[in-house]
Amino acid sequence: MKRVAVVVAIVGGLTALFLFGLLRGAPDRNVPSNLLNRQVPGFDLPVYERYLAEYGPRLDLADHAGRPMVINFWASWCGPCYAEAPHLEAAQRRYGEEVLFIGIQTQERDARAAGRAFIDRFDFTFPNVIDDDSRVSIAYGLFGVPETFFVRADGTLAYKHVGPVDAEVLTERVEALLR
Amino acid sequence: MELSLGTLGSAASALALGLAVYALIAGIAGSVRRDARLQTSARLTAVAVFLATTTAVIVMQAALLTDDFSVKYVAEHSRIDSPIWVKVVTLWAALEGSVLLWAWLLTGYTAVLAVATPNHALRAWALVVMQGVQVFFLGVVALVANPFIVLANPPFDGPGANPLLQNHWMMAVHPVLMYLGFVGLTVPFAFAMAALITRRPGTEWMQLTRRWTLAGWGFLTAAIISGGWWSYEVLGWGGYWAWDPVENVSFMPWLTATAFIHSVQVQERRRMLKSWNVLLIVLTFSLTILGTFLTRSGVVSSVHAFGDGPVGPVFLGFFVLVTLLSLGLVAWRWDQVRDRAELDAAVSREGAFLLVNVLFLALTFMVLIGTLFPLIVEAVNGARVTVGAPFFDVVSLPMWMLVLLLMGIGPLLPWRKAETQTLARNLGWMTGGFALAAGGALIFGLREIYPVLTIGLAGWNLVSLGLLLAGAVVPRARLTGRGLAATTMRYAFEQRRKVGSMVVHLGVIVVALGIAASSGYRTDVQMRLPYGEPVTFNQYELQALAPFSERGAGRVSVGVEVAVFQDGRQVDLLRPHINAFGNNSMTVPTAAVRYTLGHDLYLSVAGAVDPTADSVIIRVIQSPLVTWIWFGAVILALGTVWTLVPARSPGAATVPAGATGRAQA
Amino acid sequence: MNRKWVYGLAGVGVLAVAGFMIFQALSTSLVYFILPNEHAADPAQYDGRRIRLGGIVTPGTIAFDERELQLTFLVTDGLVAYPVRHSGAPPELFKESTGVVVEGRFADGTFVSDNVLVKHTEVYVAEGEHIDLELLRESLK
Repeated sequence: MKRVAVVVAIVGGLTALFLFGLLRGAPDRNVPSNLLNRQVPGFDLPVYERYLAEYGPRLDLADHAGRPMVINFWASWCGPCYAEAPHLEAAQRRYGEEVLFIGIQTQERDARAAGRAFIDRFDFTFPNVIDDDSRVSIAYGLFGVPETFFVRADGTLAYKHVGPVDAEVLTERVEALLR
Repeated sequence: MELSLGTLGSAASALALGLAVYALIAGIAGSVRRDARLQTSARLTAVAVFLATTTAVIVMQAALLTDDFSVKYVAEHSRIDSPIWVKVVTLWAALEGSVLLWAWLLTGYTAVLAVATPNHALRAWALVVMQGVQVFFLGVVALVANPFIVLANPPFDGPGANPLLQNHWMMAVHPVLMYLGFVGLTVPFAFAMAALITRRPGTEWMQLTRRWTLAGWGFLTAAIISGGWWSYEVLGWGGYWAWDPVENVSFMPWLTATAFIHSVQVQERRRMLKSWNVLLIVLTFSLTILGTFLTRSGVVSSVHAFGDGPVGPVFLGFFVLVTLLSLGLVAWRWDQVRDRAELDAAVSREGAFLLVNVLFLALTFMVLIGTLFPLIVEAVNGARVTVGAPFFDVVSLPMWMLVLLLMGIGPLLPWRKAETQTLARNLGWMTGGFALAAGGALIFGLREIYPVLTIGLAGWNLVSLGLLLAGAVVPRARLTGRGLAATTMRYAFEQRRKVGSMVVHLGVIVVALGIAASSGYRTDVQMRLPYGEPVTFNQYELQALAPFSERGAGRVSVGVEVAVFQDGRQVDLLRPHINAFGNNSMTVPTAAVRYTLGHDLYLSVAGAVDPTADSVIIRVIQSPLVTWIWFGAVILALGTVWTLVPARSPGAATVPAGATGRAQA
Repeated sequence: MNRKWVYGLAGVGVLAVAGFMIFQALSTSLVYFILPNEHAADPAQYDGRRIRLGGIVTPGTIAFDERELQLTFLVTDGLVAYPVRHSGAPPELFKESTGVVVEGRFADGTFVSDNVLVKHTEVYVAEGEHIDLELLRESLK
């Protein structure tokens, strides 16, 4: 009996320790961005062909100051980006008049063909640009893709979403931008 | 539902799980009721489980090799332009796949056990235990971390495997060896549990599983050492062991398993240390599961850890279940397990083995404390600490010296009680060997205590091996009238266990010497090498020739060509470089090593390679005797294999009567 | 009977020695992870001990002497900044405003480091701005 008690005590102790380890969690990727309520970094990036007519060869963020924006970072090798793409396009069709949606292809080099295919597959009607050396994603402090930044009309960051967005998040956050 | 590889894989793993559950239930029912039909059904189902799991593995490989990104695991871990071998090893490059590999090997072992081993009273329950473990792993694959999930929107390409894992061919070898070790050691555990359940805690369970145990131990040893070599070549700091938590958790079961393979001999010979043996094998298996929990849960931080998520709590649950059930079983049957006989004398073979058990157990405990301590500290006061390598070195080095000491004297001690005269004579010779070797080291100029001790103990052990061999071979040679060489050969072939273990111990000495020299006497500097100018480093001259960049399948390498001169002649051209894989921003510096028997010259790029600069900064490390570690491991492996190969039948080994042989005494 | 006592005593003795050794070894080889302001609050506590210091590389403070292979920079957590000296080339992703963990010891107010680990961190630093310390700690983990 005493022996069993000892065994249970030791195993119980270890279990408690490990539960603590599990519950304290891994570094939370969803820590609020330190860019919150600050001006988001500017950029000036080449635009994909299908948007040339409307936006010209390059898209400079500064040119669009004064509009609320949704900036979405994606890559053609990123599975979850495919999952969220239809939602982004749907949100664009609904709010595109008031909010500027921008897609930035990042964290891959020389991937124009794949990028084009991605855009065409989801028929993005909002401009998509290429961040070939991933400098912009570094400036925005990306941990990975996809990440989506919700920017107010005054250029400050309202909210950053790590991971794929869905319709709910988009609706909620875009409405907040418009208030 | 369309028939895609993903659905096929999910179906196969679900089928495997279902069959495994059936086999488990049938096995339990069949064993409890002693129903031969149910038992046979369970056994045959084990084969079916293996076939289903094999199908799952084949499906995953097919998905990887055909770049089928509709399969979630492939989309998350593979990449179109990776070379074929990388795609193949991507199967175990990440969490879900590695569990699948483990499960597959486990089902293979279980199937072999089920249909290819002789029937025995213990086998039925042992199979039940194996199948229970199987149910767990297959359950994780099929239900918790399913790699076969079908993605509605498959991406065009994937990120590729972790760059650290693509960098070296060892990725193809080390994890497989590790799992073969863990799975192999599950077998003696299963039989031990069977022995407890059926109230037959004698020596049967150990003898039946002797080969499995040794093979499993051999694989685990090879896995740990090959992991060390992999770290050495890949991580760029010229070291092979960092006492990193993930390294430690593979080391702990090895320690208890090593104690176990020695301790069982005492039970075989003298029916003693029964409780030790059962507890050691339970501990080994428990530590294996603990290890996999810690590696895959994110509870301890490590460069090796892969993944956190839903798998963590599941593995914790399994660890608790396994530990409670097995220790509970031991406690329940304690009366039959506990030792009744006592040691006749402390100075005897049994005494030495008992001391080995105590030492290895103490080592295991120390490593466990060191590994878990950061977690304990954080739980208690939230501070974040790491337990540095010095802790492990300080507590374990004295013990290693004791282990080496015992390794020398143990095999020479007789069973029961040592006779003083013989013992004194043997000790005398061995001390002489020790003094000679240590003295030589001191004369050579070495002053660090542990290297000198290790060298001394190498002498001690070599004399011991000599005495053992001579003690066996010389009387035989006299008896048969053959020459020493022929007798030794014959002895080696007949006494596989004894000679095999001698070779293994020899391997251990070589490894110990390698470790002592390479940790004690490294030179480690960063040097600026201007292109075209030779720079002196120890006995070498290093000349950086030019930077280079090259492309391989799915990778870009940037590096420097360095010519190595010795005594005016060029002896080598090393190309340390930095690899970038796919689109990953993470780069992996890859060292270039010149291996010689006496030392390694290790070059690794420090910082970045700037093609416009006129010089490059290289980390240069010279470590003596590192190669001895890998050679020692090979000797170890050969010794293990020798022990496992069955001896020729005794009939062929007898001396023919009236042999004349050579005319000498 | 006698033998049991001897073994028991020996066992306790061994345990005591082992326990002491472990305690000693642990306390001398524990490496604490702290932010600069934690050190400034109580420098004596960490005197002579090996520690890991985490923070952001202050912009404009990186200097690398190619001849001597000495890297110097300031590491800060927004409250306190310390100079760091490292013998060796800067690791590949090392640059300003990056999260970094340096391992080594303090010597006369300078942190002498033998290991510089670059950490991807999202914390953005600007002159005199307040940094969320918890955020910094988590991201440097």
